[in-house]
Amino acid sequence: MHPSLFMLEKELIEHKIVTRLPLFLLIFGLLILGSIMFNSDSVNSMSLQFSYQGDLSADFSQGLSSFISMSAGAVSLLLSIMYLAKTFLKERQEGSLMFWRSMPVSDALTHAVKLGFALILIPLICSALVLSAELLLWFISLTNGQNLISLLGEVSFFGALLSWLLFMAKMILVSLALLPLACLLLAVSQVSNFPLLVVVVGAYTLEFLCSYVFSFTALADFIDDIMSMPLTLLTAQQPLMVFAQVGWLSCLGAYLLGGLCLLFSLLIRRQGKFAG
Amino acid sequence: MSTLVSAAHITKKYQSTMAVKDVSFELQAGQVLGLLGHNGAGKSSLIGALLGSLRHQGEVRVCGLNPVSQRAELMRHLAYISDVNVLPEWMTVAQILRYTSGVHPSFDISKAKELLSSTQIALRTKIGALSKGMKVQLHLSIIIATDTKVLILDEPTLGLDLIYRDTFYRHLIEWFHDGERALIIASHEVNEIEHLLTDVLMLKQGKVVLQGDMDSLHAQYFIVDAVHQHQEAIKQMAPISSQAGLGSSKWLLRSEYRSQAEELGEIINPTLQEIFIALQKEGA
Repeated sequence: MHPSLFMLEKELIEHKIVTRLPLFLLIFGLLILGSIMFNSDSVNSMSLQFSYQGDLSADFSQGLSSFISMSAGAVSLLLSIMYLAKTFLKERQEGSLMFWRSMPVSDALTHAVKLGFALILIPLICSALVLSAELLLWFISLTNGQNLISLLGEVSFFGALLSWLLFMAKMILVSLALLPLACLLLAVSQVSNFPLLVVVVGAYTLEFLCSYVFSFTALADFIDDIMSMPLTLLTAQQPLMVFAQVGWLSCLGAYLLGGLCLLFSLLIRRQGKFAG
Repeated sequence: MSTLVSAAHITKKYQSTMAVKDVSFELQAGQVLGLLGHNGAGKSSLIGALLGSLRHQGEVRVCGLNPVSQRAELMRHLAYISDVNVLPEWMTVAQILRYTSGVHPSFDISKAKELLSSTQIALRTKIGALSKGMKVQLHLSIIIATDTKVLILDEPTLGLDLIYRDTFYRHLIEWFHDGERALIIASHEVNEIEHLLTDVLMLKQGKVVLQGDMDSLHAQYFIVDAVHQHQEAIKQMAPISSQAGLGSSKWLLRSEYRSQAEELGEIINPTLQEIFIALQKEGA
């Protein structure tokens, strides 16, 4: 096996919340759906009161899928950002940095694994939550017959798979949008004990200064676009349009800045910290 | 013998404080270097430079590799144990062995397990739950199970009881004689490590105050145990230190005065600790 797989395994052991939170949400969802299933009377007696125009059952089913997808996406984004802010910081604070540096692993591979963990593995774990929830809905629609179908509309196996694939596609775009910010967090977390706070406060301060002090709104818009892009993508109906709205120049600028942050992070990691 | 460690003109300055000043040495396979000095003498800074963890001036090569730019490759042959635990406490013993076996090409996991089987360290135990002695034992077992050529120890037995110290040094000696290896030990416990050393590098306020192999070191100094009436004569020999006793005093002198001092009292070979204390106090 390639060393990176052992390194990913180590990240999973170290950051248990990455697996535990999605699992907890799945069990929580299971309990709610289970309670609905086992109380089919309550489904029969369930009454919904709202005014709506259009095909209710189809939209509600799609709405539920979107809700699952968006919730899992939000969880994935939250876990990725938390992980990126914490991973290098934790090594420094607990004192294990010297041990990891004593292993024959290059700094480039360490960064690649950490980025891969945050931007690929975490969304992949959360996609399992989406797939499980969708398959669960399909299974319930099979076993609970008309009661839920009447409420949710038709739920098919392929529909569940399609929702999962759409989630994966969306998360690829979210990860791409998150990449510059991820590099920034990795760099900042090596020099600050509060990387998330530094990045958020720094971004808002810069945005404020650009808008109201220097009247340089283009930079303020750029910061706003780049910082909010992952979340905008997550909630967007047409995610690809978000990239178009932000513009290629801003995207290019973000990736250039991300590249610089990555180089800076590698440089700090290369020198390490040693208690002299 | 191949040169495993080569340090040339290492200098490290922290703002206005000179931590290490122009230190140079070479270490070959089969040599054990004692890095001695008080707290703040510059031992840890020098070790940081050897490990590539500290910006410094001067050139360092370990196994022919640059510790900063070729760290990943170098870490196949270089290991380090410090006075504080650097092992991740949230991992179990089995997990850290598995991780090391995955990323370290020369790590022999069965050898590590075999070494640990003779201790009280269980594979399922979390590292955080181990005592300090056990953590050092675990770390040493991991290092022994790799083909490490250079091992750097920074106060490794600090806080360990006598049993753990004994086991630690026993395993260390076995490891050392098991191949062409070099060892650097930084310690305050001069008496404890003296029997292991082939060479000594003594630092004081970042500067080298004593450097050489143990034989030449003992040839450089001697102690004369002379009655008090010879005090004035001995003071002419620029003694490094003196220790008053009942009716006589022990004077540490440089070897150039040996023939003169022989007439004044009994000549004794000094221990490394006596030389260490004398040199650290000299001029203080």
